[in-house]
Amino acid sequence: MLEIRGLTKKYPSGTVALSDFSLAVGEGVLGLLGPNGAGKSTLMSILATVTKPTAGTFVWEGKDGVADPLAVRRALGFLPQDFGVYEKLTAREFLLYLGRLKGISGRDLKSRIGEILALVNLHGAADRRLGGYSGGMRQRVGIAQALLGDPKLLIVDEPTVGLDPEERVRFRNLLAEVAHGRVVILSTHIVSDVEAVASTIAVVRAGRLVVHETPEELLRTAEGKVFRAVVPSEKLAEVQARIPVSNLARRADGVHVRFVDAAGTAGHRAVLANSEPVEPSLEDAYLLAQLGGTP
Amino acid sequence: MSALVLQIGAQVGAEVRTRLRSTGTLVALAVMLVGSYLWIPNPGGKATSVSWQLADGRLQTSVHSAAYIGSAMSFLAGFFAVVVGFYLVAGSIRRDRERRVGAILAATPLPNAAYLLGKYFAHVAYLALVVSLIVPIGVYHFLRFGVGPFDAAAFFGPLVLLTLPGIAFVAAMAVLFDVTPVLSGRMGLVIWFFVLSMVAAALPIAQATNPATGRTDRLPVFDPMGATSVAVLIGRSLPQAVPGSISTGLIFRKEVVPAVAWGGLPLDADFVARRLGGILWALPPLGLALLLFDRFDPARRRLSLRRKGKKAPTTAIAAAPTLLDPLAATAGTVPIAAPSFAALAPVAARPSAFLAIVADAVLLWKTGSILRWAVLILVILAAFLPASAAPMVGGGFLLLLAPLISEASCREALAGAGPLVFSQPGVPRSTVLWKLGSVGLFVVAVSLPFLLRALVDSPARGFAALSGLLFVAALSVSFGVLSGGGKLFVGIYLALWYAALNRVPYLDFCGLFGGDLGLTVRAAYLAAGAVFIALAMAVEARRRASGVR
Repeated sequence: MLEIRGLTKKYPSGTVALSDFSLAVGEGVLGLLGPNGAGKSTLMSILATVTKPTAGTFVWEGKDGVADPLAVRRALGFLPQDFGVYEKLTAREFLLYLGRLKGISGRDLKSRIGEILALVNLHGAADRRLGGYSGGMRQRVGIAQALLGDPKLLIVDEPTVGLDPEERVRFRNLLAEVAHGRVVILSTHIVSDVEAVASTIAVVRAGRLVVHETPEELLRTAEGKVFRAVVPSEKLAEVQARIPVSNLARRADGVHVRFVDAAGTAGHRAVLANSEPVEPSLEDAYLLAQLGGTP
Repeated sequence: MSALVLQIGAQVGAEVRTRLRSTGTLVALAVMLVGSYLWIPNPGGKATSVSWQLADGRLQTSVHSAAYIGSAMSFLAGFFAVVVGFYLVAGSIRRDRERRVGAILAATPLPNAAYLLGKYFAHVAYLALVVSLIVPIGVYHFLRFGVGPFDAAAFFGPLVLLTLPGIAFVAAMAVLFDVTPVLSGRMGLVIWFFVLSMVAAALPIAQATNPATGRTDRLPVFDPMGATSVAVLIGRSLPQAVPGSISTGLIFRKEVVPAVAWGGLPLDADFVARRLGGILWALPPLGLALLLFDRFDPARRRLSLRRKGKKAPTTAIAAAPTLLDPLAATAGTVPIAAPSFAALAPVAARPSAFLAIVADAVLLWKTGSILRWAVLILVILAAFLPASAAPMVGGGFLLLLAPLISEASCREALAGAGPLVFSQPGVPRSTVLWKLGSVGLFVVAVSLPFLLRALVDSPARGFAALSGLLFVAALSVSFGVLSGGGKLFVGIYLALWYAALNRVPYLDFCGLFGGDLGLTVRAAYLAAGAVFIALAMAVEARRRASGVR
């Protein structure tokens, strides 16, 4: 449904945010993972037709999204990473405005806004000015506007930032539900968000696609490359400096260090003689991908 | 002490750098350059910037001496620094608040005084830079047309003495307006104009007027703009002139005015002391600003809103009607009671540019605060009151229109809502044309009673009003796009409005103040509007070419 073909974005400053990025995305949630500055937001912005690429294009349902952005916008729901709101408007007024820009009007729009506000748990605050909203409430307004037009292509960039744990779970559930029959691209650096809902995962590093697989495939590639060892507290700093630690927990017998070793049996594992292999998590697999340990 | 200086220096550096990198600064510098070039007319022409009448009725002006050019430069610089300068620098603290930089600054050890003084000195530095652009123009005039030796004191003295207190005062007032809740927004831009008229212009005249003779021949103590001081000094320097006949400012005469030698403004010790002392007038507004500054504390701001009877914002917890089990957060996709997205009724979307224009015009109305009602009342009054009252009421309507539409074309950028808005399917490809449509629709819709009344009076008046309003819409949209804010438009529009009110030839843009300018001039207004829009579209296209809408 969505095909990204060789997208490249070079900013006037010379920074290359995306480099020959290609990817085919089908129905379901694509989790886009990558560290800060990897190019995720630039990719989201291009797919949302807000930013033009320097080279390459993307095709949405047979139409070139760069040459014909309107075709994409008609199907699009977009939640940018960093967005502002008109503080003097209430949430309902703000959604009325954006709904009209989407081409919805009249009673349809009003009833839709009521339903969407209930969906994001803002119905009690719908008629308060956005200037008085907390960060999490604003984020939910952003989610509401993205869903307002019943989008076939939903692009959400760091959507759970600022949400409290309850709302985060609520949003994950909502995203999983919305994904039926739609293309959802979820960009984040929080692996647990992706783990909960993504049907495929794309890992981005320095503007390039590192890997695009299902979570199961990604986990399989990490098998035999994740280890655990117990390290005395005083040696922790030294260990952290030498091997890529994915997690650690302090226990009575020392610090339980979880680390990845792309080489599998040798490499970093040699540093910690008492290490033992463990079942990889998606976080481990992501770390391995970032380190270049997966194809 | 040195730490404080460093902190202020850092503030000034950041602020000036930010300003110098904005398009608004380029526009301001261009306006200053062109304005100052036009301000000092070439010798032998029919235009004068200083002229006086002799007892026998003859008009005279000065030859292009260093003293004359220096004085002419200072008149413009003083006016520009005070009238336009405020609009160039106001809103800096508001910007920190809106862009959430304030919260970061508030958490640093930076004292309130250092923050406000940093802003103040940044305003002073920036205004001094803009105003100093007049110097090369003055030098050019002297090199080309100069008469007599180059007297540096006579050339630079008036410029420094007249503009410095003005810049100091305006910079302090901008800081004060920025920290005062009601004055920090668009309303403040209009209120400043009244403050300027009443305090900075009327008060010095009252001080300078001699009650015994009725003449303005005493140097005022408070005169930030310096206009009254100039009038008094010129009067002293030209005893041969008929009292009240001295004109300063660009005036086009019917005939060539003979030029004679003029010694310029007599800069005696009393004048110098008064002007340098005038810098101290910046202290009261700065002190008041320090008292009012809330250090970006939302709680203090809420308190002030509550005192004004507004509803204070609530927290997320208070807003959420149900609180769910916090333990669920760690469990991944645990079921949480919520309406189902799939159960929602389908919606039909028919995006169109027309709907987007209407939506944006409606938004202009909704965000118009109390001003919109004031505008509506004035428009209705202008439609039904006798023709003699039309200039006063209609003038009020035109004045209040400025803050309503000033930020329409840059609203998305100012609020950071660009990605949300520009990814919508109904938004036309050209933001400039979209905004021109919505602002034009809003202006025409709001002023409909006024327009109909003008049309009933005569088709020519109707066309004058319509073309004038469309010109204002174009001006607002293009200046908003070019500068990225609303202040430049408000400053220039208010200057135009003031000129129209004072019946300056050809500037009665709406035909409200008795100017029957004919179809050609009305068409010229529309053409000028089109040129501004084309310029804004060119800038928009350039920005788009760089990849970001």
